Amino acid sequence: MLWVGWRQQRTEALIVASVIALLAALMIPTGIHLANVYDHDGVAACVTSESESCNTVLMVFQDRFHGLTSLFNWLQLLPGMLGALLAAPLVLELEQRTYRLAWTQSITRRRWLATKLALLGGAAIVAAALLTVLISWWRGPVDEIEGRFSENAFSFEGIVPYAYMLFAAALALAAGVVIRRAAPAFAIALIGFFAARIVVTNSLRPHFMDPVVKLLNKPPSGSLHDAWVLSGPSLVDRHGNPPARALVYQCLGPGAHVAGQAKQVPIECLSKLGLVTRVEYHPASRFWTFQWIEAGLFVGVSAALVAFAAWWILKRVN
Amino acid sequence: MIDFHLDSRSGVPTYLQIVQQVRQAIPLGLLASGDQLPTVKDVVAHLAINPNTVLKAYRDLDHEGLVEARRGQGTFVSSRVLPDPPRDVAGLQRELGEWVKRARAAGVDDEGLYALFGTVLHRMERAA
Amino acid sequence: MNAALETHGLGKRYGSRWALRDCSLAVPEGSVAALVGPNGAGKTTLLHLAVGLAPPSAGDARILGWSAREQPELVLPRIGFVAQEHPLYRGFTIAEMLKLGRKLNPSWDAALAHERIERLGLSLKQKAGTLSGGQQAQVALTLALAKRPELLVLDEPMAALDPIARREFLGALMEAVAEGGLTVILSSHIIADLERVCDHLVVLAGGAVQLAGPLEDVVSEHRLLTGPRGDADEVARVHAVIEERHSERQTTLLVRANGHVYDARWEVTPVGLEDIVLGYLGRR
Repeated sequence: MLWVGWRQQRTEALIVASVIALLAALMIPTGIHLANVYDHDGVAACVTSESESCNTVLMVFQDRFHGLTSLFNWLQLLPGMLGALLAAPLVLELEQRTYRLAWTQSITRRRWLATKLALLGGAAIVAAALLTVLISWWRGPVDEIEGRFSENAFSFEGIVPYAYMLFAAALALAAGVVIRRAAPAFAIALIGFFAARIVVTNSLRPHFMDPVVKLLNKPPSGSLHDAWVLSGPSLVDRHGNPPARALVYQCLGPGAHVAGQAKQVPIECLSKLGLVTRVEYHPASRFWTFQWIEAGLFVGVSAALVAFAAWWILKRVN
Repeated sequence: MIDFHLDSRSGVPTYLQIVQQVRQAIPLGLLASGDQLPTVKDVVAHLAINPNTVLKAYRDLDHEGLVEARRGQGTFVSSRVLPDPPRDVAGLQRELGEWVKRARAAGVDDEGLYALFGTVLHRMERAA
Repeated sequence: MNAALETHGLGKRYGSRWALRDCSLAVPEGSVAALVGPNGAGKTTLLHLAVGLAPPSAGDARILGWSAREQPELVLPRIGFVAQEHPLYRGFTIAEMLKLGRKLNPSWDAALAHERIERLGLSLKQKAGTLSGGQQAQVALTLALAKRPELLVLDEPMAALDPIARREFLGALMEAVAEGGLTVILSSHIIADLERVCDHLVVLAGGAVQLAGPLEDVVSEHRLLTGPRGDADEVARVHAVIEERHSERQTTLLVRANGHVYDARWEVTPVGLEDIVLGYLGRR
């Protein structure tokens, strides 16, 4: 059955492998270049320094590769597409009704399903592993500067990519088992994947743990450069409220905005007025905790979807 | 080796057609003593009929003494059957052919030929 | 004699509709059984229930004494099944289809499979999807036969085949039967083909068994009675009147005779299989 299951999955697996290979072909040269610039242009040394010149070096570096790093936004859907694609052979078995052949050989339906699911899970994990290794390597230098909590880092590193891909596959499978059409199931999975990712990233992830709130006498140093800053740094009075405009104009001049300019305000002016800087953030050390929580979330839902699909196949397909 | 054929519209049961074809083949010299009849497998593969039909035909022929089944080898035309083909089969066929030509020239169609022959044969059998 | 397939009160319901109801029959081992009936009669449902593709809503089906649904490990290796439209994996080559058979079936006769494919004149490298309908049917049959089954179940195997392909398919099937130890059940809505090969008949219509029994008995027990226009009451007292038709001056009865028909009013003639079946299908 292993050979049969693999052979049925061969086309989709090759497509997935080709996509990843293509991505690697594009990313490896640029990744090497990125690492070179990072090492040899003194960017690495500047990461923990707080000097003005270093800030400039970092900003120049980030600017220079902004075009490439922003492409990661487009890659967010890739695990969804690849995962859903891997589930296609199983759904096609129902769409083309070849199960009438598969389930009347000498193998039980249970064993058939277990093998197919194992192969699907295995393929998803391998694909996710390849993607994660490739992208984590590429982003190395950028992550040193921006931290791994940035949206285009967190989703592609650690263990969540595995959970995303399993989720996409499970969603495509569950949809496909009910509607018995591979193409619509793929579309449903993609849309569902997109929606779930957006909801989790924007509404749930910030609240996995209570954020750390710090009131600082001066604007935060580079020590928060790799944390996930949820709000701030902003100016507040000692009670945590935004300061009266009149107060701010005293330091900044008339017509100035409060938020986002904490860095430029003279520190002496700040403490004279009783204003402090407020930052709300998740420290970088929480990266792995958040990874486990989010991965657990997606894997849990995946397990439920797979259990549903398995029940449907074993009991309801006639 | 004799090649069986089936006329599914003749109304004659399949097994009987096989029996008749074997019976007719022997005096005509198409099958001689010791010749092997086609295996059941070959017959059904060619004619697409139930093997039991062929088995029944061969069993009937065996009972008649025309053939004998040799275990593990097949079914063979009985050695007790004296082939003795009618003399001058070729001559008979030639004369019949000429009669057919005459009848056709007189306007008799195929069905009429069969009817003519059948009527005469029947009449002669009654007179005999 | 044991039954290759036996059902007791077998039924299947989809929602509120019974596709098959109270179906009880027994197909003797070694026979070639025809399951005939119009489209929608429940033939496919019956066969799917028998091989365990669907659970019954009522009653049970036993193949060689076991339930395919509850004991698949015992039943599946002993049966060969070719579903409607003879499904194959279209992207697989013939060689890969045979490999599938070998991998999924412990009692796989690879030599038989290869020999059949060769005799069919097919190349192992051809993709199943590029074969003609007749060739696909033959490959599907090969897959089923190479399992060396005790029971072969075919669901409308010749529906999409031209006459030559049909004849070849049946020839191949009969050849397998001639080797012995094989029971065949094939369903069809074309009766003429089945008359040559079958020795057992099951007529299914409206989800119920209308007639079942050895073909020879069925044909010998039914008679066509023709006579002047009148009623069938006297005949019906002794024999089962399956169908009666009246024209202006004549009455025709299809009868399942309970012994000889002694009524002088009627001219008694034998009935062909097709007309017998049509008679039963018409009476629903």
